[in-house]
Amino acid sequence: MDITDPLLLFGTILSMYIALSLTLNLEFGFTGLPNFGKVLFVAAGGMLSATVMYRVALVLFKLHSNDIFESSPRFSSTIDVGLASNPVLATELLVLILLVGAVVGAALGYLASYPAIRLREDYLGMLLLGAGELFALLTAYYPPIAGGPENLTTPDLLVGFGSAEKYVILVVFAVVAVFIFFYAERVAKSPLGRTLKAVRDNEIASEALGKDNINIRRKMLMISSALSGIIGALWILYWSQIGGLIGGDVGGTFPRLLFTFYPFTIVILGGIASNYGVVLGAVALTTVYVGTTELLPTMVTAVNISGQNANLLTDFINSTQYIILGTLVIVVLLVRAGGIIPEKPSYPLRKSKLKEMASAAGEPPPAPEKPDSEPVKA
Amino acid sequence: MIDPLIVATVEYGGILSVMCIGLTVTYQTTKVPNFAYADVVVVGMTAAYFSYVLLGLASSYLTLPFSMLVAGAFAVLMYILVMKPLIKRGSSILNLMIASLAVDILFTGVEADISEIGIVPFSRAFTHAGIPVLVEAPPLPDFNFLIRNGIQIVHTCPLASAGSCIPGIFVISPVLLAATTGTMYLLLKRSRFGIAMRAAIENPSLARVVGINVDRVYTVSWFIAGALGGLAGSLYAIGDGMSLGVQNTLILDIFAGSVLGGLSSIYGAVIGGLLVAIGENYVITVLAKSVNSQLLVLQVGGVSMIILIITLLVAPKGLVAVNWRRLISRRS
Repeated sequence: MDITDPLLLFGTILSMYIALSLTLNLEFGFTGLPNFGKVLFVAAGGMLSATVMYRVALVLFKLHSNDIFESSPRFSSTIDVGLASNPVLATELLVLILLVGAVVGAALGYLASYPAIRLREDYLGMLLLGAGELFALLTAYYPPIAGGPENLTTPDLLVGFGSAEKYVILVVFAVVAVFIFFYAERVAKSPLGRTLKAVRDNEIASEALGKDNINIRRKMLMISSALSGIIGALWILYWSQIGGLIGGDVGGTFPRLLFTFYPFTIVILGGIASNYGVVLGAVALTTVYVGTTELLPTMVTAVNISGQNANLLTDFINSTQYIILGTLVIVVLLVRAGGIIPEKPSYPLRKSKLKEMASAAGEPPPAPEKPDSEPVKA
Repeated sequence: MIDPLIVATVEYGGILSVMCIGLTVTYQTTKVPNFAYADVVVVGMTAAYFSYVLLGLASSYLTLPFSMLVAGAFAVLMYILVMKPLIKRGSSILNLMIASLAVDILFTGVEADISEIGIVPFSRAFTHAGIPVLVEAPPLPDFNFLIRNGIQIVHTCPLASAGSCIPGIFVISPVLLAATTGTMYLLLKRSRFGIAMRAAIENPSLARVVGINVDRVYTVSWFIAGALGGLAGSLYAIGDGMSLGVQNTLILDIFAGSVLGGLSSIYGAVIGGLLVAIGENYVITVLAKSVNSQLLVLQVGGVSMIILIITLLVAPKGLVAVNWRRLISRRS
């Protein structure tokens, strides 16, 4: 039994989920915006950057067809051959998809901020959920976006790396995850992070202190949506085939379960507004996800159960992940609503520095950290 | 024969409105959009098949009490095991919404596991009764009204019928909707329990002070909401048959209808449900015929999502909160 592939898969999915959940944490955990339409920003970034990149490549390679989506497997392999000998062009196309993903995400985030600053949180959640569903339907049945019912096989931008490609994808995702982690940590420790929490916890008080609630929410939504769009664009490097109906379900490459519910699961499990918690939550979720979708089924085939029983068992293991994760979320909400690593108050300076200053001024040291309490406003 | 499009619209309108009433009741009591409500409907649907086959009922409509009981019990379980403890802990609305999403995912997993493994012992009984498997099951048998020298009730329509034939669900569905609305009206406005329920919804702490057991009132409300879901599930099984996983598309319609109605009043829910059903079945089919056949893909979820989004953007409190008199007089 070869363990390399499941491990690679684990690493890639883990990095993707760390990155995506951290962006969700920025808007849901810190700012209090319930983005139940997370899938919309990821899918729009991914699908639109894929078609734009594919169309640009068609123009560059002078390929024509009446139905560019139907002939996409053929065209893409032609383009792949060209890209293998031209790494500069491949890099340019890579930059292009990242740019398109970021721009699409930011634009959608700007659009979403219109209802986000007007509606109550539960109504906003419903609205974003609905928007995500509508986009999934659109991509599933409206061909110009991503081929509709036909799939779009995208050119392989990392073709130059040959057999090392899988490792390169892992590295790319890991770099993005680390980058977003440091960004989120910086936000959490900065005055901006404390402002965000103020906006989340008490709108009126933060307004009274002169904070522009509307602008802050809009900015956070745009930043985290742009990052989501980039993650979506990178996801097509991994899949190299996108479509609104892959697997027969509406949602296709970007199902609501994987890109809305699972990030929320991670944030709830790990800890709302806690970056380390989110990383821990991502590890937990990825273990369950990869374990039930890849590792255990591989074992089933390894121990030589064959025929219909093996399929049944694989399906059974596969759908057990929903039971595990659903139960986990409910239990964590009931037992430890702050998550495994709950939110910590952030200090403007290092704690040792604060103590030093306090003792120099002859005051008692700052109060110890409060025990975990409900961080989101009731 | 009546146009099958109208039959489908009327049938689904009745079913959807009943579900919207149920969702509105749960929203009123716990103030949380319950994303797991369609699961209650699916439980009712499954209960309808099981009771029909295992009890050998004479008519499909006799499954109604069974599915209402089972679905009601399921909703109460959901309330007692998940929602009530969370509310007691002082969870925010967002956490409650996430919890209901989690219940939905949990249910999907259980459903898939049962359909993959657990159904095997049952499948023989079901095959015997002419219903092959439970994952995808044909509609339960319906009766028909045959109009020929008066009205007769027949089981299958004669192919070359001299009169016109109306499927039973075409009549039963709106009748049950009217009965449900009437019962809810009587319950809320004329009964002691209804007054207690309205008080508990309006101001829980004040209701507690006057001696209303708010907790029990909420539990009963969730049972009522679940029973309505079961009723709708049973009718859905008779009209359209069943496919496990149908909750994913049902929930979109239920939310669209309820939000259009305003999530605050039962009559709003009825109107919203009917409008969504008309839009999704009738309007879009007519538009597809006359404008562009591509539009037909909006039928599953598309129309309802457009309605939901427009409602939330333009009038988030729904149709019942719009001041129609002012709107009309301003224009004229």
